[in-house]
Amino acid sequence: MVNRRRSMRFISALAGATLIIAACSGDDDGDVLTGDTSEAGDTTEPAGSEVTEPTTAEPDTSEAGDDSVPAGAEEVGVVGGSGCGIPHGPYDDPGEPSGEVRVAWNDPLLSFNTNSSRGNATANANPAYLMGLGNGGGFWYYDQDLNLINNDQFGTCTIESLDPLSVTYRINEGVTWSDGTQIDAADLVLYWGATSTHFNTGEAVIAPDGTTAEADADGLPIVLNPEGVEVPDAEVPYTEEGALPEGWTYKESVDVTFDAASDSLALVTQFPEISDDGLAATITWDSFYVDFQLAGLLVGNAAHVVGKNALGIDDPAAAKQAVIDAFQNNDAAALKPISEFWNTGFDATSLPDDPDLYLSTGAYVLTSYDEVSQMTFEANPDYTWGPRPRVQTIVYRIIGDPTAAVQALENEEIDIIQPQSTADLLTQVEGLAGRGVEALTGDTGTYEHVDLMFDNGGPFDPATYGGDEATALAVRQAFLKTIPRQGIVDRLIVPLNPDAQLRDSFTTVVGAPTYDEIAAENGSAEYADVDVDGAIALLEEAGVETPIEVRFLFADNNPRRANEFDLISASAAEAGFTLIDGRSPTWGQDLNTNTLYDASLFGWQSTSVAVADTEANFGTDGQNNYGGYSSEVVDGLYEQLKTSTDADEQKQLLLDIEKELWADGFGVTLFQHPGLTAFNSTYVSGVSAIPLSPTVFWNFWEWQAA
Amino acid sequence: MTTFILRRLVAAFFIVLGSSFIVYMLMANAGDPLAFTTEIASPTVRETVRASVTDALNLDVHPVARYFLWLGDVFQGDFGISARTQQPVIDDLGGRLLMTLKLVGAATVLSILVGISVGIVTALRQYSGFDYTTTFFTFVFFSLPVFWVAVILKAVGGIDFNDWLRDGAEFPAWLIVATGLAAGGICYSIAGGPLHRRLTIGAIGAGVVTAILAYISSTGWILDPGFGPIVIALFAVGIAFGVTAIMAGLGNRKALHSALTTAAIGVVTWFPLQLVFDDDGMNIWRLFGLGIVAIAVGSIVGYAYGGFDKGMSARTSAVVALLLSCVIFVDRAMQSWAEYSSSSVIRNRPIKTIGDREVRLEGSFWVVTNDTFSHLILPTVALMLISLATYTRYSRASMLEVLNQDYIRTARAKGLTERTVVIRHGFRNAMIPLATIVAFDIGGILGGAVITETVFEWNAMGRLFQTGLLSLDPNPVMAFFVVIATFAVIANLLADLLYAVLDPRIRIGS
Repeated sequence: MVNRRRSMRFISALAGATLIIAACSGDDDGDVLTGDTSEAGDTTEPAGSEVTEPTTAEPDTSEAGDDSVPAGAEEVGVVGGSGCGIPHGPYDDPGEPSGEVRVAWNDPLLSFNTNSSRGNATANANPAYLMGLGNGGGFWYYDQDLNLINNDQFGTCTIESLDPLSVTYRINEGVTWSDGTQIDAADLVLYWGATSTHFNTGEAVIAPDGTTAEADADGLPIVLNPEGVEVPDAEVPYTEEGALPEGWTYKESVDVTFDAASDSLALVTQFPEISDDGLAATITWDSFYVDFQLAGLLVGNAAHVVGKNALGIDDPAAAKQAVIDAFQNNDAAALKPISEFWNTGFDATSLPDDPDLYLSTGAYVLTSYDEVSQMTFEANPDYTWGPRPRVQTIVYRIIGDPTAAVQALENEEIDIIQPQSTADLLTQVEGLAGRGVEALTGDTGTYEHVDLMFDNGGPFDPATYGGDEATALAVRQAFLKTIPRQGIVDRLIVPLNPDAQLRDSFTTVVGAPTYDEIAAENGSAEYADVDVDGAIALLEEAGVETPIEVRFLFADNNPRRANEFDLISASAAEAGFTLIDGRSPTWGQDLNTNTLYDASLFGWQSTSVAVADTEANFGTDGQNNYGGYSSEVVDGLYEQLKTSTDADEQKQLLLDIEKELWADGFGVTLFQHPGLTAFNSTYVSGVSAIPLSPTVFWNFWEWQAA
Repeated sequence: MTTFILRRLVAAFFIVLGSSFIVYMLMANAGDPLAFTTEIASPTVRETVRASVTDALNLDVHPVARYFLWLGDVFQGDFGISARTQQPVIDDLGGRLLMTLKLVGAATVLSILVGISVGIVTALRQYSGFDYTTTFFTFVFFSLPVFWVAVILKAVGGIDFNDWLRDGAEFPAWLIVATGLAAGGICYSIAGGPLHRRLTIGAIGAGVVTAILAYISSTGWILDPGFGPIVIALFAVGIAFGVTAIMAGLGNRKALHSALTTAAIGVVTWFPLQLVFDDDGMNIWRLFGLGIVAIAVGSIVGYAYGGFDKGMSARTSAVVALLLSCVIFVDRAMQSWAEYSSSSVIRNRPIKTIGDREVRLEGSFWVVTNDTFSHLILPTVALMLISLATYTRYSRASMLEVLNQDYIRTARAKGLTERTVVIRHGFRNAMIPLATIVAFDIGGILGGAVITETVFEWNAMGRLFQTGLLSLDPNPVMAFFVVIATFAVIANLLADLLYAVLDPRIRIGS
């Protein structure tokens, strides 16, 4: 069972489109998991653009509400159509950039490759975004309402056809890396090759001496004796230090392992078709991928840099061609160094000696990186292909301690901070109003929820009642009815975010255009208020004896969670549920062990607005479906959703999924985590934040230094 | 001597070895260094990372055996990789160590100097107002947690002070008067002798301090400080008399004259020195070179005066030269203060609450020097407050004990001057137990630096330790431990050697 589950999870893990590890949550790290979930759900993908549909009567905002895929048939074949968001058109020229703005973040950059699984963290994503490599790698970015905007000055995405799905990504002439090399199809091919998983040939491990070695069945590096014969690990005469004896070597892996997996590009098995001018690449998906706009090709790492470092080819054009050839011919001998360099070659904790490693395609170029403490970005003088910045210098300072960050803001050493929000910090920041400091409160991309366990023999598992589904359902519903959802929001969240409201949807973020409709109809109203009498009635009707013990798992280092537990515990006790305090420092791992707990409380962090990602949470054997929930109806709806090309249909499908979830007593959602952004208006204006990465950086080109 | 040092070094080696074993075992049992991998969403990647970290850190080996594997690497200068960043720990160890030494060095030297002087003075003026006041404050500081002190220091010494500078750097009248009175009180307490003498000294102290503060306040001196040749000349004379009084006694005319001559030379060289200082090639090594030249000149002057006690004259003059060099250095640094402060990077808020320097600051050596000081001051004060109390109390107690010894009474009885009694017979003997405290305290300051570095966002050794510890990452923690333990052990060795220098009864030998 366990094995089967793991392998199933593996498959759904490949479905992770744009995951960002919750490294940004700093002190609060413990309370957020990142997964394939995306509560923003279907809400915010742009509809057809005004550029291509001049006759549309819909204003921008309603387009945003018009969930997801633009891909009406009318978009097909429209050059520069919305294959990756609403084309923006030319940007205003703000004039010469001037002044400087100082931003603080709590974690340092560790890699310039944000597309590898390891490098995919917000701490890497923010600097990458400033350098044009964040989010859609130049092709697209989120606007304030989480609409996908295509920077068509950089490149265009033309939908060639919907069945089969085929999109042409074209880089505009003159759009270059900061070393002057034209960005072209080679860079796109590299991204496809690295993240499609098709070129990964087998298991390899990093041996103690750093070589990528072939792995044996136990995952240990295979060792060769001086005669070049493989020796089983047990028979290797390791030295006292654990190293190999003189003359012995690890068997170098000829396997190719790119540390990345895009569920979308995994569906693209055909080699991209490169245009004659070399600036465009066309890919065709084997089957329709609903979130293709978010998960198409992009520019991540420079192919000529990878070619130069991995293959030793100095000439950019030749290096690009060599990279293309390596993928086209599936040349393992060339792909091996390429994958090795791609995986780890861009790692850095200070400014690399080789400037090629931090090339920019965007508005800013990196000029200094002091050992994990401070980065300096200067406006890229050659940048004309997108929103041009108003600020000449951006200083990116790492400040781990939130109090230190606020004091640095107060001492005017820092202009913008985004610390983990607490009541104390908010009070402190609001106290700085006299210095021109403005505090922005709002939602973040993480939402809090209670999940129940369906398959652990506990109170919510039908097996406990001899397989009686109805009884288990009644117990689940009774328990969920006792959770004081509104009380939790009012007491714990409103002080941090006056506009906070209850989150009533499993798939859609509060405030998103479709949220109201989904929340109103999905059946969450049943759990809007604490209903102890209703819960007792349900339990009596089901004939379940009280008290019922519920083991409740949550992070032990998080005071807010502890408060939530106290509130839930007191309320549930009235209906006859005895909550057992299961706070745990290892709650993250504990989630996988379903015998440890009956209900859990934690957060899911959303990293994109993809539609189908929530399947990992609710689909049978989904990677994030820790509770073992399984519904054929939901699985079927997700199958439909994944191939749906119509926005209204997608919304309806999500609504149907939610109805099932709420009716089945899957759990309850509570609130979006509150976020706090503070900036000193004396030094900078134009600051705002969005819930998704790159949060406060999303509109850095609108920042204006005083 | 050599045998002794060798024996101690061998012992120290085994102490570091043993303690590193204990810490390694504690780290190994503290938790799972791979815990962070649960954040990695993709199972394949998670397994790849787990396998490679397990391999690199030998996590599949029993901790005891793993310790020896690790030890083998360390002897080859390899501290392993961090599980979290998968970068070699050794990469930035040097830079971090320098940064920590800068912080700890300044704090240690200053707290030793200030702590011991205050301790000696309170011992000499036992049960005076000054004694009670310092006792009170040292105990208050001693009992405050350093992270809290740091936050308060940032608020008052950083943010409020910068605001005050921005508002024109004027003292309110009450503050000038109050500080003047307090200074008068201290002078009154410290001064010895009959009441009218103490009153006079107190009044002079109060008057001088009030006048200086009033001048500073009314001219905005702090915004563009500097001494100028006249004030430096005053300093020079004061230093010459003061140093002579303490080291040789004003009765020693040759010493006094050589000190004054050295002072005069110093004041005269102030003018040509400005040109040397303004040279583009000015750097820290030239600064040290100039300091050494100054000391040499002082010694030569002392010898040149000759006499039976020319060694004493030479030492006195050398100290005068050194102190005067410091004054001239400070004066030159101050001349660049306004330039530093008004730099666009500094935004007229010179005292910094985070970091150890402003990377983007462009300017002369002197501007950068100001930058270093303005970043160092708050964390140094925070660290000093921890150890100041120890030094004050121990040196006071030690001095009191020595002053009650029979040989002090004998010395007084045979008619030695009070200066000779206190400095030669008292102070030197009081230092012996303090050598132990200094060695002991270096460990304490290094430990305190962990918190201070965190609060002030210094990315140095303490940060390495803290992030390593929090993410259960063994190699950074062990790297920190080995380096710091080595320092602590060497400090102890030096203290033992110092005993022999201070106390002729102790012979270091086989």
